[in-house]
Order: sequence, then structure tokens, then C-alpha cells
Amino acid sequence: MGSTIAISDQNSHCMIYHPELTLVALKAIILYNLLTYNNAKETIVARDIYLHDFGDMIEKATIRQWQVQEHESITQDQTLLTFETAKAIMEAPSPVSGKVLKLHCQPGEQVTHEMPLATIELEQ
Amino acid sequence: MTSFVIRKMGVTDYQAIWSQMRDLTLNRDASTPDEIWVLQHYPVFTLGEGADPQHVLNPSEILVVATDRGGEVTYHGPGQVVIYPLIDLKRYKIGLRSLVRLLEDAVIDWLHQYSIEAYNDPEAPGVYVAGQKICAIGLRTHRRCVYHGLALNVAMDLEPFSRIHPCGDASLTPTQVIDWAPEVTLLDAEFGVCKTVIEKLDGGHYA
Repeated sequence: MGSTIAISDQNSHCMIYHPELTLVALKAIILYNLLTYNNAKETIVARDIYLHDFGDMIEKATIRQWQVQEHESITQDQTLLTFETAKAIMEAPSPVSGKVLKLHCQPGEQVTHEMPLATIELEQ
Repeated sequence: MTSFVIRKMGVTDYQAIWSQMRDLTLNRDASTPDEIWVLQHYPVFTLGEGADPQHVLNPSEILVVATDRGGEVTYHGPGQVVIYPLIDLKRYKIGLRSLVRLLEDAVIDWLHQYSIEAYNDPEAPGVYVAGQKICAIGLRTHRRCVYHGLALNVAMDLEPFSRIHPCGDASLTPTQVIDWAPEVTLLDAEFGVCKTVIEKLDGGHYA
């Protein structure tokens, strides 16, 4: 049996050192630590966008149209999407600048204030 | 005290007015004064952005316009008072939902002055009297600036409403102010509702 290195994931890494650790395995551990250190420096800060970000106690709405795409860079106040609530259509301005990571709902979909509409990576 | 530019525009072409209010809203900045437009339209059916065109049953000679406001299909015609609050919501620190409530309350309060028992329905914005619709609301905001507005049936020919399912509801029938208070004139309604809207925006109770 050779040596074992078990790595659970980047955030909570876990290594098991065997007494007969080979040089190759040792190098792998050093490389791994180096990589996680670098990853730590590149931590992204992202924020979910909710209906309540648009300045009103809006409990539910129907998505009309996305005005941005995933991976697109956006600036604060740029229109993110249009949605309809209480016979009013809002061109909803982004509360933050950054990059769109994920759009969570589709045009025509009914959403509530508890559901994230989009996730945006914040500008550092 | 907030100041408003109030434009009383008479009977107007729908598409011309829509294009003007859109231009004003898309090009306004923090210093642009708020305006309230008070007018009527020549006969026209208008659809909200998400409206189902099947609710227009038989438009016949009346023009149908697909607009960018919220809400379903409605009818505009002479004798109906239309009020477009072209305002920047940031100035009043109110949200879109609160503005809808404010407009409903302005119409309700004014109708109460003539002892008309008007009320709203939180599930279907607008103003109602005895189960019939007297005022429709449809809005849009661009950077928290509002266009489109409310339409109050005052003294008009209601027949064209039978050619549509108003607000997408087949069972909904319209009513108008003179059926409940025959003494009311168009001028009373234009002046009165505009005044209550401004008082409520100024009052700051909707924040």
C-alpha cells in the first residue's frame, strides 16, 4: 500500500499523512497548499438580488424580460430586468456594479420576495 | 412643497402622447421638474406589455395599440379623464406599489366627496363602485421615474368596453361617475383628481 492523500474540498481541506509518504505525494501536498493559498486571494464576493432591492415592499411579481445576460459586466443603476407587479412595469435598476453570475428566473415566471432573481459578483 | 408642471391637454391622440411621455421620461435627469398631464384620448384600445391580445374581442373600427405599461387591455375615449403622473419616485421616497395605492386613494377620496362609495381591491389594482370598475391604472417606471397613469370613466360612451374583456376579466363591467353623481362635469373630475393626487404626493404618507 502506498501513501494516501485525501482532499475533501478547497474550503475545508483535509489531508491524511501516511508514515511512508513518497516524495511525489509530498510535492502534491505543497502544490495543493500553494493553489489553495492563491485561490484564497481570489475569493469572490457575490450578492443575490431580490424584489426588495427595488425600493418597495413588493411581495410578488411576474418577470417580463432580462436586460442583461450571464457573465455580462454591469454598472449600478443599469436596468437589470423588467417585471410587473400591481399593473405596473418596473425597469429595475441594479443596486450594485459587478458581473452577472447567474439569472435565477425566466420571463413569464411568477416570483416572490423570498426568491433570488440574480446573483451578481461585486466589483472589488 | 413640491412643484409640478401641470399640462391640461384636451382630447389627444394616444400614440402621440405615449411617445411624448416616454421621451420625457427616458431623457429626464435629477433636475427635470415633475409633470402631471391631464387629458382625454380619442377612442383607442390599449394593451399592457404582458396582456393577452385575445381579450380584445371585436375592436371593429377602433385602433388597438400594444403599449409598454403594466396591466391588461383597456379602453380610452372622450369623456374619460386620464391623468399621467410623470414623476421621479426618488423625490417622494415612495415605491411603485405605494404609488399605485396613492393613485387609487386619490380617486377614492375624490369620489367620496360626491358620496360615491368607491373602493380598491388589493388583488386587482384600480377603483370600483358596486362591483363595477370606474378607474383603471397602468404604469411603467424607468430609473424610478413614472409614466402612464390612471383613467377614470366620468361621462363617456361605455359601449366599447363590451368589445373587450376589461383588465382580462370577462365578468368585469365598467361604470362611470355620472351614473352615480349626474351633477359632476369633466372639468370637476380633471381638477379634483389632479388636486387630490398632488395633495397625497405632497403629504408624504405613502413612504
